[in-house]
Amino acid sequence: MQLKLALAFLLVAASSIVANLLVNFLIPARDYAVFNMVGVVCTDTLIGLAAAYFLSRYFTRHLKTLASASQVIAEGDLSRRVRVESDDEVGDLSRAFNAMLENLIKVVREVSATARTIFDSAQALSATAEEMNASTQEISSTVQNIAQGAETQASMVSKTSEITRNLAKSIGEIATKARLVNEQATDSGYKAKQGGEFATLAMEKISEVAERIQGARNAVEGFRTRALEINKIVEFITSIAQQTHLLALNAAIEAARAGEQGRGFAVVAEEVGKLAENAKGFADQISELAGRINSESANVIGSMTESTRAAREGREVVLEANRTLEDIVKSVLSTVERVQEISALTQGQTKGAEELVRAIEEISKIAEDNAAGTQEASAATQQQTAAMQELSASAQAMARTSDTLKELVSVFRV
Amino acid sequence: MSNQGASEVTLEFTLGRERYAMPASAVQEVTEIIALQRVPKAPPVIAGLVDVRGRVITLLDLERVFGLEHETEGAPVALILAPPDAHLGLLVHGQPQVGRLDLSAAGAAEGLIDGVLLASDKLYNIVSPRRILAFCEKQVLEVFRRAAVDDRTIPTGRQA
Repeated sequence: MQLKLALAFLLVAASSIVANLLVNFLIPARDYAVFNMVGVVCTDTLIGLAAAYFLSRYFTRHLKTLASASQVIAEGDLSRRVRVESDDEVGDLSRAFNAMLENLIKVVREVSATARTIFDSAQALSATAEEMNASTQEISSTVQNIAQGAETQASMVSKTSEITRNLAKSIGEIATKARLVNEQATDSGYKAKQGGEFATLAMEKISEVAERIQGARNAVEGFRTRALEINKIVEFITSIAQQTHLLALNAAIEAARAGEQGRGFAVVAEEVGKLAENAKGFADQISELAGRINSESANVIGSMTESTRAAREGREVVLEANRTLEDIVKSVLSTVERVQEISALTQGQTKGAEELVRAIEEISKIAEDNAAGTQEASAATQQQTAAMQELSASAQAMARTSDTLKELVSVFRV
Repeated sequence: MSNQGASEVTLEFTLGRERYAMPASAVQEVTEIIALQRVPKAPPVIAGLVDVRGRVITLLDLERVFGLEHETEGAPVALILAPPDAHLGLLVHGQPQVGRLDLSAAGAAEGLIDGVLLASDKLYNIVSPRRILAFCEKQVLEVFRRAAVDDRTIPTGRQA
């Protein structure tokens, strides 16, 4: 450049000299003096101006290129390159300028790429955060459901515990009652056995009564026979009395017929008649009594026959009662056995129920712990949700920032 | 019995609810009826035939005579009538009694009754064999007459 400048100045100086000489040559001498003075100044000025104009044109043409390139670059177009093929400082500047552009492009590209990557990452992060947030919310609601379920479970277990305790109590009462039933059944069995013995005794007594009734019946039959015999005799007596009466009547008739002589005979006849009458009256009374004895004996015999039959039936009934009582004894013994079995089973049940109560109490504790744990988990998921929301917000903010960066970088065309 | 001299011995018996009395002199004896033999086609007043110590006595049913239908209680007895009617007897029930009544004090006769007598607060229908026998005779004759008419007009079925 310095060399070029020196050469330029040298050229200007040489052209000035040539111009002076040329002017001296062309212009006549007369004029020369005046002219010489004016001519030289004018020529030199003209030459100087031309030299200045061309030299400046020459030296600034590359700078203009650079300036326009800078202008383009300033507008963001980094694709432009400066073409200066000179070995001077402007050429160096141009090369340095191009190198700077290359580096700048690299930086812009990297920034752009990085911004894109950040944006993508932020987007992905945001999406992930949202997904996680959604998942966490789901987990949170699930955990809340579990927590509610755990609470319900705890209350149900509590109820179950109560029911089981009542059950255990009931089983205890059943056991007590089974013991009472056992005692009562044993007592009933003993009493039924006693009843059976009494029934046997009653049967014997009834048989005895039946035999006695039979004996009495035979005796009454004897009475009846005697009464019938009496009746026959009385009939005979009655007949005699009647005949006597008729005899007395006939005697009286005869006496009446005899008149006064028969009067004494008539009295006798009358007396005989009265006696016969009396005899007949008594015979009638006896007959009536005998008849009454007969009919009453028949009644007694009827009653006794009825009594014998009743006694026989009573014996059958008592026999049946005895059999029934034996059956009762058997069934009571069987009942006692069953009740004892029930008693044993209820004891087992009582133990089982107690164990069940303990187990349920443990379950209850676990359920309560579970409820507490799920509540904690719920709280934790809620915190996590909050964190995820924050993360999501940050990722979105980052995405926005990277967007801004991308916009900034997008000014550059590379 | 207030007038001892006028009273006479009577035989008293019952027919239905009424008391009857007959003079003892009209009766020969009183007997039991052992085997009464019914008489076919006889009028209802003829009770039947009975054997009294070898004599056949025709018994007249006094209940039928007085229009009664076996209403009297007691065993049947025969009042054998005194001669001349000793072949006839009156059948009554129960036990006849011997008594004394003033038969002259009896009221007026009516139908088969000789009279009614009140004695010792008891009312007696006084009867005598005469009216009874006359009534029975009429009955028997009527039966005989009817039998004779039947024999003439109605041929017996046995001949056909």
